[in-house]
Amino acid sequence: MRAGAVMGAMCALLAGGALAETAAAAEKTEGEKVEEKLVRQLPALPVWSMTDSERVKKGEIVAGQDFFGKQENIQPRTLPEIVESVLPEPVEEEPEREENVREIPPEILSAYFEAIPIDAEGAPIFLRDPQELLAQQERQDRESFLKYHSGESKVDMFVYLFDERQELPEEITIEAVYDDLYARRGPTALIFYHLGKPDRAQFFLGNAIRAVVSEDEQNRALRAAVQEAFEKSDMAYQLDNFLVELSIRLYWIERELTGAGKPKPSRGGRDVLEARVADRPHGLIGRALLVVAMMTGVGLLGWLGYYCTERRVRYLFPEVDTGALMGAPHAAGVGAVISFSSAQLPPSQQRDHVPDYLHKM
Amino acid sequence: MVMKCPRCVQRVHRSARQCPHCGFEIGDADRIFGAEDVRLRCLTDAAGVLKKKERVAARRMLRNFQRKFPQLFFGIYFGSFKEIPSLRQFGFWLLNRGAFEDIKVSRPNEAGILLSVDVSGKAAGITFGYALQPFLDDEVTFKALSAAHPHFLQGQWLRASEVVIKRMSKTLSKQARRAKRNPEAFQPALQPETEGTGEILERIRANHRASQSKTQV
Repeated sequence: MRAGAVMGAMCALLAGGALAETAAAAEKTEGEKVEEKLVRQLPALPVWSMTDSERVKKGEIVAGQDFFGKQENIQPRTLPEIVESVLPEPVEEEPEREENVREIPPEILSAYFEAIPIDAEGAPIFLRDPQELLAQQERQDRESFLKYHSGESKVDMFVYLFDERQELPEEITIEAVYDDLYARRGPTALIFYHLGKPDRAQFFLGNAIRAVVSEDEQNRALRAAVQEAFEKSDMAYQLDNFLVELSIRLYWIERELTGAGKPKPSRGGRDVLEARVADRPHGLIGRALLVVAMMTGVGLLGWLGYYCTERRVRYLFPEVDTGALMGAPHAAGVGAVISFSSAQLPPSQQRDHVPDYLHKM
Repeated sequence: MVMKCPRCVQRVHRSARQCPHCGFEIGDADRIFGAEDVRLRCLTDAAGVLKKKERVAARRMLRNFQRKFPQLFFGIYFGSFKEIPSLRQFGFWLLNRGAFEDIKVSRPNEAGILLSVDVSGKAAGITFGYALQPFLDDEVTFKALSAAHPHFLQGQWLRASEVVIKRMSKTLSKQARRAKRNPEAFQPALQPETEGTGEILERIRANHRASQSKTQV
């Protein structure tokens, strides 16, 4: 309360001082007189003692405390304590398991490799996709293409579809699958194809074919099919391109097969062909180089043909009956004469058709 | 098929024994260059401007021309004609009086084309035989020489000759094809075997002189 009184006194004192100065400086009006009267009625202003001043400095009293309400537990000049942060101990992170690499569940595996599946009519199903990686329509389209190929070609294509990152168990290899299921069939091409990863495709031909067709040729066929697959971005279309190209290659292999007199032993025995990205030539550059090479070849051949023709061709003139001119026995065909004394003038301006008797001798 | 006089460069009609304009005939050229036949080769470098390698290359070029045109031959003459008044007359005379040693008899001078180059006088000209009259003219030869003009300017004699031969070969092969298709187009129009224009002119002049003398009498 005392502090509040002090503040009120200070205000009054200031106000009173100001009024006194005004009264002294100017002539007092009626209103001023009334105001002066009111000021006199106010209580006297409090006076600061030295003790109050010391207490304010120490923080025992706060100026204006009465106006702003009583504030308790004010801790003057207290600094926040520095709290030492405790860092967590480094924990060794376990390496994340690659999510994309997925093993194929055993029940699915059995669906893949139990037997050659057949449809309602007893015909073999050429496309195996028990995981339904392709949509139904897409699967039917590819299946119908494989059936068409089977009707046209002696070498059937059996395609097993897997996911992009799926890995087969070690004991299941394309060779083993061939031996188990397809060894007793006719000429067969077995394909393990990973959707979205054509370069992981595996290709295995039956023994009868491998005996005739060289390994290089088989490798080329697979590489060409992979290259064709990479022409598309959509996974299903990639499979389309892959199968079409492989079907074409198989057609030529088949022709070689039928035309072969003696079977040639394959170099690598029963090596499984696996496409490698490194083996895949860069599509655009390869094609551009091929086009340039072909054009150069055609150009060279054309030039060679022209050159040979030009060298061989003979030009004959009919005999012309002309009488002698100016008594000349053999020739009177006087052609042009040009001078080449000036590099500035064109040949037409250096042409000499002035009679000789007008020349300076 | 218009021929020109080598001296006055005026047109000379077929079978004229001398130029109707200036009276030029082969005898005039003989009086300047000599009446005897001259023995030479189809490549004659009298001016000595070709190196050995260039001479070999030039001969090969001329052989190729002869292989391509079995009836014709091409001759090149490099000379320095300080004392010769006219390169045109010289070419005319040389093709008539020249005996080309390395050309077979089956290819007479009538079937020859001669490129004469005056190295010191800086001029070049082309002359051709009677057999080529329907197939070549002044313009064709001028174009061939014009194409070689830059090389002549730089003294590249072999290159210049090569260009001339190439141009002439191109023209000749075209003309040969055309003649094969339509030989009649290149046969000269038949003219009555009458006296040449020179003789007519002589008679006119003689008559004129005769009438003048009669008048004087």
